[in-house]
Amino acid sequence: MTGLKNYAPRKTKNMNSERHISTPQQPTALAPIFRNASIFDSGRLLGTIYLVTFFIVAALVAIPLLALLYGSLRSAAPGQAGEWTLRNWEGLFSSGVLGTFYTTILIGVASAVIAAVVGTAIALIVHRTDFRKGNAVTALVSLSFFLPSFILAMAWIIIGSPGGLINGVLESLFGSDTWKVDAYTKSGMVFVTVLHQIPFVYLMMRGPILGIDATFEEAARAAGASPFSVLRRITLPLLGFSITSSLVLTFILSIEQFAIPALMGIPGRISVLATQLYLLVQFPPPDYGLAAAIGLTLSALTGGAIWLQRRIARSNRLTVTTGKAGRLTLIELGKWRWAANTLCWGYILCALILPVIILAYVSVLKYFSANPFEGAYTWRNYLFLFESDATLRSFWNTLIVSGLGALLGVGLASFISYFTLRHRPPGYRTLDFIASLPFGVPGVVIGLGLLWAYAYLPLPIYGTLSILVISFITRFLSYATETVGGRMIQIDKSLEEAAWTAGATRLQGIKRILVPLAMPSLQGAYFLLFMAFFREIASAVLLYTASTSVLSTSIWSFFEQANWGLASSLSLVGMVVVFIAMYLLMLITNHRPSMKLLDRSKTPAVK
Amino acid sequence: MGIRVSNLIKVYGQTTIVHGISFDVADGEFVTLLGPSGCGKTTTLRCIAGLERTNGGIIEIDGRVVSQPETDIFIAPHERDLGMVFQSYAIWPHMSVAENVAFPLLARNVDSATIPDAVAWALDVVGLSSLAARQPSELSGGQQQRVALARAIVGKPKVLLFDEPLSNLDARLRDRTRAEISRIQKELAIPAVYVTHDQAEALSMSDRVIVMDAGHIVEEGQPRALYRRPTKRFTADFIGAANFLTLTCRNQQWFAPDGSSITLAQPVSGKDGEQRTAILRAEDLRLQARSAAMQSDRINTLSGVIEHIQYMGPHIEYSVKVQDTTLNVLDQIEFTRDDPVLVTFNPTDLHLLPNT
Amino acid sequence: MLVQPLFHSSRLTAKAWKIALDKCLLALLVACLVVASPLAFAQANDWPAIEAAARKEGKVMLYHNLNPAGAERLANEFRKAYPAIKMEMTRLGSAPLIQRFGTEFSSGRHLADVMITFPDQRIFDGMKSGWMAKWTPPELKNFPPAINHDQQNMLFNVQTAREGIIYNKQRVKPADVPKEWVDLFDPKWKGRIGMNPPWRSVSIQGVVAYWDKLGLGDTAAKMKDNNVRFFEGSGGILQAVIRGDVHVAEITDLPVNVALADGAPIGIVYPKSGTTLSLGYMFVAEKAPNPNAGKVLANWLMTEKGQNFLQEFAGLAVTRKGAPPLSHLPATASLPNTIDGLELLPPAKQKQIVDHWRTTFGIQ
Repeated sequence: MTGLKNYAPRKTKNMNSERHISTPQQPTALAPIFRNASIFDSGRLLGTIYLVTFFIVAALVAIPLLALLYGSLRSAAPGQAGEWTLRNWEGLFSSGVLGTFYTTILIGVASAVIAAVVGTAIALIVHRTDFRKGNAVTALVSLSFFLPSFILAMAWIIIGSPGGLINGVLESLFGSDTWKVDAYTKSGMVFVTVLHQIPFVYLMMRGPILGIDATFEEAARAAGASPFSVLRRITLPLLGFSITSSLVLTFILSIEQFAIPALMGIPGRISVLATQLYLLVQFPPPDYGLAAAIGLTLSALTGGAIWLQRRIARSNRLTVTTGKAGRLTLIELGKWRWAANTLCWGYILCALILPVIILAYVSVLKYFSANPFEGAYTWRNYLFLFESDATLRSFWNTLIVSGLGALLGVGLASFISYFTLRHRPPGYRTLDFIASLPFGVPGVVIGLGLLWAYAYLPLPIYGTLSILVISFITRFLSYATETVGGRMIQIDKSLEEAAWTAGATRLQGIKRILVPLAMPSLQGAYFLLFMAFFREIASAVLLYTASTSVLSTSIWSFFEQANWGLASSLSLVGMVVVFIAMYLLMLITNHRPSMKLLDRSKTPAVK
Repeated sequence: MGIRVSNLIKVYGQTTIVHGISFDVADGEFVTLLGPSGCGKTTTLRCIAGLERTNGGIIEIDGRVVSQPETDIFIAPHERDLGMVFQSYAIWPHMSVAENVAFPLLARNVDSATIPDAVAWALDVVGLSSLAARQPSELSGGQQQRVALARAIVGKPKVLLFDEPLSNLDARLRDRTRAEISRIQKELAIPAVYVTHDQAEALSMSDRVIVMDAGHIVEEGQPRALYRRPTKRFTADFIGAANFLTLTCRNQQWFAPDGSSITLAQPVSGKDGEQRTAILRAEDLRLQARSAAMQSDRINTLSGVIEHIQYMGPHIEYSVKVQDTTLNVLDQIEFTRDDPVLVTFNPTDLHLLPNT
Repeated sequence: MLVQPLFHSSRLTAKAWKIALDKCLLALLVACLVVASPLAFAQANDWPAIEAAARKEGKVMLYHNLNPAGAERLANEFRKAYPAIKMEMTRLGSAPLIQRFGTEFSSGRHLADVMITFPDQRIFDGMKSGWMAKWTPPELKNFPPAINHDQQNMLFNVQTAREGIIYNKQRVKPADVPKEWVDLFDPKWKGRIGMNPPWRSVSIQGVVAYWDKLGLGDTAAKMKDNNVRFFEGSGGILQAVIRGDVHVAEITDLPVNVALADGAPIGIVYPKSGTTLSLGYMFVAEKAPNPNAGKVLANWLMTEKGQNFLQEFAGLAVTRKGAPPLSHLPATASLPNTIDGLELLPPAKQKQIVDHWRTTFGIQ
């Protein structure tokens, strides 16, 4: 309220000299536990950190968006002389662009609805019924969360394209030459997008489902409702907000998908906004201005959806979750067990097992052959990786960008969460809003914005890893702030206040109390960011150069040149390396992530 | 020394929570802020602790001004040398009991050689010496509460602050702990401010009670005085179960609503037709069976009918309808509903509220 | 381990400063080299001196549109010839490649030393706006004079790709194999035909222009009627045909030789009515960060060994006098009616083709 100057530092008197109360002689076995803390001026330092955080976040978000706004009003490419024009915005209304808008929204809505339904169903099956092997399903679904989308796309093209496996089987069964399944269609794209998004919905719904106050359902049971009836009339309505919230988020993620529409949509001549943007920028004649206009419109669309989702989430916070897990009655599946098993294991098969098998298969072929017995096998795709300087470098780059970038991202997110949730200095609401903006901006758009911005800004970061780090942090900051923030909210304020009244400064309170208690979420956020950076392609595809290629862009460029053999081998090796790195990290930090990453209600009581 | 609060004002947004209250806490004194939810007592406590910033007034601790917005003075909580016990105990789950208790000493940069002894002493005072190495999750609610207490006293603070510390305990534990807190405070002779809405705690533990309502101090005084001779209706109503009777004066005599005459312990003069409110404690009223033949103009006797009975164990709680009023009476005689009764009391048990 | 760095802000900023410092030093180095290069240029005709300077520079950046696996092997061979020079590459399709170079050039960020690509008007404009270094490679004498574009000593045609029709041997009966361009529009290939869209690559624009010249009508509409599928680059077409997604396709024959050598079940036809060539050009950038290394690389690619490697690994017919033909494909000279695609593509025509196809397929 009254600013920083009131935190006048004063020396505290040493208390021991004042009173003389006899102390019993106790053995000093307690001594090794203690370490001395230092007191320093928390007010000024904390205030500076706040200002710096604010500035960094504002810069991260504003720069690409403003650059895009500027670019959409210019007639020339970034870096070249041009003039002001509204032509780009007019171009939005051409039939091509409007058609693309329509397709994008159609695919987005369809994917979001199906993913929300199926994902919620799986979550309910695993956590609210007597489904067996629920832990295995959770672990596998979490694993498929980390599978990059282009691997899914590739696998399902191989399975479902006109020359694919399904048609091959159909052909040999029914003999006719007409194919029946085509992955290069909107339905194909929706199918793969749904596969890609279900883990997200699952992990998001897990928390609310487990956090429902058992007494709601018990009251219904006592009033005579059957288990299925309870599900239908009590549980699902209670979850309504959460389902809607995850639906909106899934919609946003669906419409900004890049790899799936690029691999599956382009051959079928289906154009969505993300690929159209990419096309406008990569192929001549390039129309950066129109791309910028499209990008901004896309962002407005997703931004609006984000705002909607926040409204929903905020009004939901008070109602359902109590954290008193464990007393929920399980629904018996009975004769529906086969359906549940089919759904859950079928999903795992389609989204994880099949793609990985296909990946492995393709990686050892010289050229694709649907019949494994006729395949021309080779190890050269793997040998290439180890002989290729460029590939080895991209491994290294990935470790730097993901490892270091995730660290920076978590640090920034922690500061943001602290300031918006606990400290709340003036302007914290603005900070909160700005920090959540980039989630609504599609990856390709961020990449484009940064491309524009750094063509002009004097900072020499074009063509360096730094621009990739900036791009990724901008894009995924909200993942980390949600994870860390969700936990921070639950740490009772009195725990910090007790520290202050016990003589600790604000900063000491943070260091001694808040950080240790929030540590699991910090680690969770780190792992989340690491994996998100690792599999991100959309925001990097416009920014990388040969020397700053990371694994995802290397794999992507192999895909783009239709060298699926190399793309597969690199994907497999990359995933193995990353998982080993994650495992080692887990061992060192003694932490188990993945299950509780997006789960906000399940925390032990901290009273 | 002690605490001095002068004209404390606290505003949230458009609402004034505390309307400029003033009170003192003498060295070694135990003062309770008592009142219903929302009366501002917790806010006042937090202002003294420095967890809230005031909008006006002066707060002094041990002779030093710690808060005075008019002159921009604000000492942060960690420099006010406090010991505070929270309603939720706020025991840090990631530290052992010993580490929790040692924290204030570490934070204040006390010579580390003396810490183990101080911690041992504090744990001994609250009776938890054997649990020093335990984790908070292994402790019961009562034990956690005592850890919080040990943590508050370990640094021999200038002031002890309690924010409804007993409200999360069950009744038996509450009684025991009440006594302990009182004993410890007296032994250490540290001025203490205790916030509660429970009048039993307030009466039993305090040297002085300050009754608050809607951000104002209604009344303050020693427990006995507040109980027997409150000067405000609110106080009487909040502390203990009180019955209010409106007495009317005629010819220097006071009459009950039903017309029967009331004798006071000491004569009180009044104008004709003047009305005063009399307070009668439920436990001071006696019940007798009433037959039709009884004289109806005995002094300090009211006729009524039993309306409602609640068996409480040590006594029975009756609601007796007397004319338009319902009196609460605690007695041991057994009656049934609709029994006609007489309600009597000693003149010394009747207390007249001052004229407002 | 993770806690400390998070809240010791001094350590965080130290890392960020280190990155910034590295970049500053790099920029400084580049500046020095840019200043130094005219000095090297003065000794352009002194080849050993150029080689020595190249070794000092220590690295070279190649922007190219060759098949990537082959390019890596090329890089290995180059490293054997010049161990002191580290070769880095950026591979993109010709159109985006030219675009990237152009964007970088105009914003003053010069990263490329040597460029190999199929050209379009922007390349020729670039000749006039200072994109390319003017120099005489020692190997130039071993090439037909025509490869030196406009005799400017800037742009050299080192390899040639040809347009053809590719088909899946397992799915296409010998009687149905297409022989002419017009067969592509046969309804029997409806939904089973593929190609690269013209906006992706100049080579495709060239063949479309050739179709116009042959009088085949509105080929965009015809392709649309035939439900053509678009794929990513010639590699993508090859993949799709091998997998059987499409049975027949138009292709720039860059990756075909390698695939045939692997034994892939495909066949290729060069129509007798003629086909277009895409001349792959190479130049050394005027503002190259490592100009001497660039020249050394460019020259090496023109040596007999270099050209053989280029042909073997990248699968492209090379232009050096006396070079052997491709292992599985006919030599360019033996194909009937070949014409440089660019000759059919003045800028207006180029734009017209791209616009028309874009509109037809709703990608506007």
